[in-house]
Amino acid sequence: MWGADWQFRFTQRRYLRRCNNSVMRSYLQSDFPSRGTDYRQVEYLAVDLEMTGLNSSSDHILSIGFVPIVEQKVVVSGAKHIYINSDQGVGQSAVIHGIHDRDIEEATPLSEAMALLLEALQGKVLLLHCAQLDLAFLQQACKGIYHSSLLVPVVDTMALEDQRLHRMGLERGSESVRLGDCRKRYNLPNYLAHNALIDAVATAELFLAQMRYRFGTHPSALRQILSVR
Amino acid sequence: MTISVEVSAVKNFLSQCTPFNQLTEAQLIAASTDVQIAYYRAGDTTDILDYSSPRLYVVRSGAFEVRDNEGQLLDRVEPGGYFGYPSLLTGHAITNRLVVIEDGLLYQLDEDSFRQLRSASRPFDRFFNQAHAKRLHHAVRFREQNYLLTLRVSDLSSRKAVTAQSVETVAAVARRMTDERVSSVMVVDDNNKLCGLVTDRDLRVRVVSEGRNADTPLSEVMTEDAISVSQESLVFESMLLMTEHNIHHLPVLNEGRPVAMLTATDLIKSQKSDPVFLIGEIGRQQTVEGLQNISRDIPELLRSLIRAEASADQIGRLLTTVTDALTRQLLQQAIEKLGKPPVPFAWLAFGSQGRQDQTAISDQDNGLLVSDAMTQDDDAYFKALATYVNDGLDACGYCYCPGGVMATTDTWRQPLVSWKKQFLSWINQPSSKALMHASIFFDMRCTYGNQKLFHDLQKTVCEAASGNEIFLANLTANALKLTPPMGFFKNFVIDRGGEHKNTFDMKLRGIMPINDIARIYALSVGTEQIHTLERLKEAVSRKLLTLKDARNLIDAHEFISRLRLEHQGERLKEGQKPDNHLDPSTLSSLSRHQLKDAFAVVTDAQSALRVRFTRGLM
Repeated sequence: MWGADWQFRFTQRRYLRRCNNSVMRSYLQSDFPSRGTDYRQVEYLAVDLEMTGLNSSSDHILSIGFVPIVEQKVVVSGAKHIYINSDQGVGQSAVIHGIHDRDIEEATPLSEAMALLLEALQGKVLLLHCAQLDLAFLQQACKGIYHSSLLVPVVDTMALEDQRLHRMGLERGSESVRLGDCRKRYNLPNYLAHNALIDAVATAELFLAQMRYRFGTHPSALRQILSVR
Repeated sequence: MTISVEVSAVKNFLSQCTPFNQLTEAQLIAASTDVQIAYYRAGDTTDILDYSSPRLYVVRSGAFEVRDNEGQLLDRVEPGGYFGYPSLLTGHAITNRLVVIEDGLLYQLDEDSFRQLRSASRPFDRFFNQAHAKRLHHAVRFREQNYLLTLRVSDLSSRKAVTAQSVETVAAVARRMTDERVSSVMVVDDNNKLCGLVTDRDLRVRVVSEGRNADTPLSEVMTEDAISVSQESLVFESMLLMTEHNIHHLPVLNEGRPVAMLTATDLIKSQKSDPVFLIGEIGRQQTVEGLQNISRDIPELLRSLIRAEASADQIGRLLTTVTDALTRQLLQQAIEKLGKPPVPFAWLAFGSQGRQDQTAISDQDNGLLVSDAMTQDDDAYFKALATYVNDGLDACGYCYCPGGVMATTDTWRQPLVSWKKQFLSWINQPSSKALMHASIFFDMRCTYGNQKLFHDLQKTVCEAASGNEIFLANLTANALKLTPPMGFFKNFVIDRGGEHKNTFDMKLRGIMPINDIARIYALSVGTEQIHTLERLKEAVSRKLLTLKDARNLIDAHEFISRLRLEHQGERLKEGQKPDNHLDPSTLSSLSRHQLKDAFAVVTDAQSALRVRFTRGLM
């Protein structure tokens, strides 16, 4: 998406010129870390979404959970868990997510939820497990609300795990890269409950573990871990 | 709520940890919100503690060690455990270091949050002040006469609470008291909180003698506002309460709800497990039955010593002291009965009693050494003496030796000259088969009788054994047959089937190899030390072992012995027969690591032994 810092800033300015929404404008005006920054000095926002399905054009977001990482520590005070209000009912996915229609009725409109997310994401790197899926839904939401794409540096813990397993000489697909299975490899506790915020925290902890295993206490540039698409 | 800031994974974990479980819901949410989470890898040391700002660290997963600046181990911390609080409490700079033993997550709370929680919650404040005091006293060794004072009410094995509702009738409750064989019931309200107490005495005084009906409700006869204690109180405090108010029943509460009843009998029992008391009592018994009664308290003695965190070495010595006292008292009773011995004799203890490392399960291993002045006819006397003592020990729970190593066996009841001959044949014409069962004889100690006879025998043994290469090589070859239960991939090797499936024998595979090593070093230079740790120290002063190797072996011996004692204590608590079979999967990950380290030490020491004593002979 962006090969160099100047390209990112260039896109940032281009988006800014076209955008007249105040939330998106202040997001785009924030300073994002350059690719050469030591990854430990970068702030991240671990995000997880619960959706009604896997198709970003027909399904929608039920809830958003996020938690920041600062100085390689998960900062619980920055965590939020937002239930999204939507016209459609929850349907079958209630079984999976434990979210029921009554939770949704008193819930926050998507536009407000996205405003909270973008505010928290200012100047940070977006951290996702299986980025492609969640990112598609976030892009869809931004297009609908701000008529703009979401410009954001992304780190994908699933892709990092894939790389690691590949480097260890394991064939792709031979080991599970599901969040829970990845966590087991780092002796991380098993969370029984399952919601957007717990999974965001779980992703954040997995990321800390991956970084410890990959770089130990040595510095490394952010570009080493950014997802390239 | 549509937007929530509560991270349930963090809050739920903290709510399981004392003292966080004592916080109100609002305080708990505030605490969990302030948490920062970090991850560390095994071996990390450098960048964990933030020396510029002290914090409270809560271990969420993994295992950590706190060491002082000289590397001395201060504390091992596992999930739910804390460190960092001393600097927060004292304001002194952080001087300790942290070592990560196993990958894990650390929750951190900064100084402000910690201070707020302390001022908001008294239990929270008290917990960390006490924890700090405990850490300071970490180095203070156990003192045997003191442990009763530190025992808590929850440590005493008292019966589970028998409760009743206040609307129940006196008749119904009296029946239940009979069925449950208790002398009191605790009356509880709808919330299961204590509201009264009814004892046998109340039934007598307030029901029968006042001529009340059997269908009188409990509320009319119970004692309201009964004096009670929390399960965290000290036994000592409970004793004072009982004496002060002249009562014999104390309800034990957890947050107002009855969990057990502490009776005066429980307190008397707890005193009985004081070793000084026990040995004093032994000396007063004139019959085997009397000794038998006292020996029933030995399991409780063991349990209370384990709770008091006595070292395995101290526990072994104390339990052996009790066995020695029992043996001596039995011998005195026998002499009282049979008359004075015709010639001098010495009672010999072998094996674990000889080494002073007895545990909950100890068979008898003993023998009788008689002066060479004995005549053929004198043996009848000594046989009767031996029978009395061996039977008495068996009655007291020290089973007959399955291998027959007891003074009643003719071979092990001999004049000095025959004992010498026996030892010299083991030493001078060794075969590993003959030596296989002989090693316990080389751990011998005289527990009663003529010490001169014993020293005479011991001197002969030591002189013959020291420097005897063929004998030592055979002994070593036998010792090396028992190896620690470690597989090639540093995994535990366990029994795959049978009665002790998934376990290994801690005595056979862990402690005996160390005893063997110590014995061989001791015999090689002819020292008279019997105790394994003393033998190892002696080996250092004789330059057979380096100080470091000896310390490692001593630590390994202590650690494995301690695990074994704790295992036996657990089994005793559950009413099972104590044994040596440990299932490693029941250990915490930290203990597993340490056990592997201990076994590695034993394996190294065995290799060193092989090089030194077999020299390719075997």
